[in-house]
Amino acid sequence: MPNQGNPGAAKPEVEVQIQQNIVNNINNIRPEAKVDSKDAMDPNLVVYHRTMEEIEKMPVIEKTMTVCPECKLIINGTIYKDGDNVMIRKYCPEHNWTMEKYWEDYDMYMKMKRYNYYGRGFDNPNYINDTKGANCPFDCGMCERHKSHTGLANVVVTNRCHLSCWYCFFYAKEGESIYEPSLAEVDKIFRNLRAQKPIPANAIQITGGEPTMAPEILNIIKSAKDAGFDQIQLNTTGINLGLNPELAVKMRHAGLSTLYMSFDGVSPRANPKNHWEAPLALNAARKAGIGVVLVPTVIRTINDHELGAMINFALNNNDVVKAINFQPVSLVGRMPSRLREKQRITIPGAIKQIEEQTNGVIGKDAWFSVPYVGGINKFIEALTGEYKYDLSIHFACGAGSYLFIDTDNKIIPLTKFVDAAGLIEHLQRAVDEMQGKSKMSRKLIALKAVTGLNRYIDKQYQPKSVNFGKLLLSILTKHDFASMGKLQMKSMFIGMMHFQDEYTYDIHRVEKCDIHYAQPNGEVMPFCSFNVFPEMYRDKVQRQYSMPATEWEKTHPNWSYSKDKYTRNIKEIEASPAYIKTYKDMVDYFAMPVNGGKGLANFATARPKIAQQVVQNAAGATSSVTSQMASPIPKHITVEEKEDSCGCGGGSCGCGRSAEEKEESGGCGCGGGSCDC
Amino acid sequence: MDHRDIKEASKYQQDLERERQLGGAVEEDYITDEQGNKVRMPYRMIKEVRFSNISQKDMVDPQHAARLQYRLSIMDYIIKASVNYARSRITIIYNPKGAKNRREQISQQELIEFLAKEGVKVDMAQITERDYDYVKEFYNYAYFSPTIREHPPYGYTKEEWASMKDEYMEKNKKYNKEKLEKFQAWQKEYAVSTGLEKGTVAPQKVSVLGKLLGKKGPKMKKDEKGFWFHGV
Repeated sequence: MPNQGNPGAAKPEVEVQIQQNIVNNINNIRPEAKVDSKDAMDPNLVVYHRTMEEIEKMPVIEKTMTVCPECKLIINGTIYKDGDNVMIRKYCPEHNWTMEKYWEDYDMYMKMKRYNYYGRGFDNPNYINDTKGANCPFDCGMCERHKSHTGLANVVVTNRCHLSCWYCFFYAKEGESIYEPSLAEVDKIFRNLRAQKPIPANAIQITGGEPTMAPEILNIIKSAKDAGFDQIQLNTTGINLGLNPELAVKMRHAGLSTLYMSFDGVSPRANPKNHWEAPLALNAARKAGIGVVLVPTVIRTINDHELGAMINFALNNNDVVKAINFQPVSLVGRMPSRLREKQRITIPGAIKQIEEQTNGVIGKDAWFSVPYVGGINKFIEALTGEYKYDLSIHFACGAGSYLFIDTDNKIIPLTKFVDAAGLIEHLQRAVDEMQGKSKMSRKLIALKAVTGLNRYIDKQYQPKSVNFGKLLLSILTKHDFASMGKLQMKSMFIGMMHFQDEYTYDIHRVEKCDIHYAQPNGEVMPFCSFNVFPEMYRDKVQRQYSMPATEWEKTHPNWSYSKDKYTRNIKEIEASPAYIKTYKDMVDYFAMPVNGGKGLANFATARPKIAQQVVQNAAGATSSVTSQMASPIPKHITVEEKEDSCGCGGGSCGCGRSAEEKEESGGCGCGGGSCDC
Repeated sequence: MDHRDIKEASKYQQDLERERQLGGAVEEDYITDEQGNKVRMPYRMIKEVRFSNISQKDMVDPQHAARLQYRLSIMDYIIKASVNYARSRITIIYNPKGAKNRREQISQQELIEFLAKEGVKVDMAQITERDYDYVKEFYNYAYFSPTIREHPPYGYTKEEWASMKDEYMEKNKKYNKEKLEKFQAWQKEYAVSTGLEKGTVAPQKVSVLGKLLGKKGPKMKKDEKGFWFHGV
């Protein structure tokens, strides 16, 4: 181990407060940092406050390379187990020790790790460096050593934004230059992405700033479609679309597939960004036929208490919301260590919160890591000899699951009825067997493998409305985008994507990244190089291709930073039918007996003001609104339907009455509320 | 859409024109690409300097060499820097003083001084400098990067892939063409159904039996519109 310095010498004030032998510079505690003894005792924070002696005794999981958050020196990182947590520790000779949470669940870490594999990278990399990767991550471009092709390409079309969120690092502030590439430049970027070998980028995310502020946005979408992208996403707040639904129709017509919409919580407090406009945006997407992916940035102590509520919100709008993709916050830039420890949440941390908040319905077991899908791709490739999308990212970067809703509103995660691990191993065995075989033999092996798939599907727990075996067969035999879409149509995807920051940085992760940014200079960057070292990549290159603010002002005479900013009229929106309907009609799926029967902890906080609002603004509808709010029955099912659809026949109903008794008394009397079915 | 249409449609191009009239822009900032579009180009002729025979002791170790590369790279007047510890050399593509562009500039002497501050002494006899065409050597390489290797699909060897490749390329081309045609057909229908364009939507096919039973064609199910859940 390198020189550790003299840990006990420098900061006695901190030492006294967090007891003896604590390494003074763990997580770069500044001398002036006050350590609250309560914080040190908090089980979430205790891993940050161990002695070096204790830390060195912790079992090491693996070694990696990382960077010093202060001086960017490439240093060794050790990933180790601390209780249930997986931590990363690193030592910089100049800035001492840094410890950070890497994953908040050791068992999940080991489970996810099994699916890790190396992808193929680029056969025509945009940049060749002469250091053979020794200076990674300061050699990005994308270089020939990168291990994954572009899975999702981000293209920035403007750095102007109509909001100024405190945690966002990506918009032009007063006096800063404006980056808004011309249509021709954007089109060039698109063609470059489509020219990647061996697998061209097929999914693109048009992003900003706020991309709807780019005047050429419709032509940009058209241009992406013409370039051949199948999946075109727009990373937006949804505000402009909510206020201008016609724009959504035009965008759909141009080729937009998905709104990748920020949504940080159900309550206004957790989601001040677009709580009010989200219903309007959903309506616009409904009208236009655009699918929506809700994207909450998860910050511990800020909105982590609403994760279940957000899933519930997505389920309530499942006609338009296709997925919810949580992004545990990436604490980019310098921030006080106390704050960082408090706000840090990792993928398993968020998963555990979801488990708690959904009565265990969406438990830890429901999730699988993104590279898990690689097993299916490999099988199809080995069968057909055609390149397929390769989601070979690092296992710690992302996780996901599919949720199905059964006829009785029961929410069933995919893993409840599919032995996911067994299925992939089964397919992998077939891939191994296919190697070196003729086309015909490969087909026979595949046929044998496909007929054996039912072994991994437990039909007893499968949603009554879904034939998963058939769905899987369609994906494996037709292996096209439409088959995958069918699965999406019958389920809701819940995902997690945790981007890195300087504290958690792991070079093994960044070299496998498949979420890339295409730069105007032709280079392609992994997300976690682009955004973690903006001074070297994002900001620097965008400055090169930007217009200085003074120049922009000259060419846009009526423009000003303040005019770009959005001002909302809360009262007006709260009185709008879309807002009232979205929040008043919301059903708590998890309060239903089939889903655990315990209401979401923060379900009520998302709605209380609406009743008052309705009294103020829609007096005529007040009574019906109030009664619906109190009812646990989904908006889609009337009481009569519920009684009919109950179907328990006195057997499974928890009320204890026999069928005869029920018949006599005209039902079990639970009124649809307490019936266990 | 053809590139030329894009050019015509671009408000940005009009902005550029207005900017030029206002005298705010420098012509060197733009080039005309092969499609006839004006694209912003921050640099044209710049310099590449190589400092060879650098003492490895000065660079400390490969990690410190990488950090030196980072420190060089974050400077606006350096386009790319490469600090190669193993080969004891530093290569820097930079925007030299006097270059015809509006970006920040630096002289070779200032670069040497910066390196000295970082503890790296340059061997003055081992400096080679040349003109560097940013557009041809950097920008065009990134946009039209050559294929340097070939990965076959999973489960195949390079030899097997060589015999299958042409067929795959052909199939892929056909697939992409069909995909675009399918989209365009959908687009037409969508434009009419949403009122973006005038016209009629092609009637849905109904079987003879269906017609006899008075069917008017399959209605779009509520669940089919988007995301489908049973029972909800």
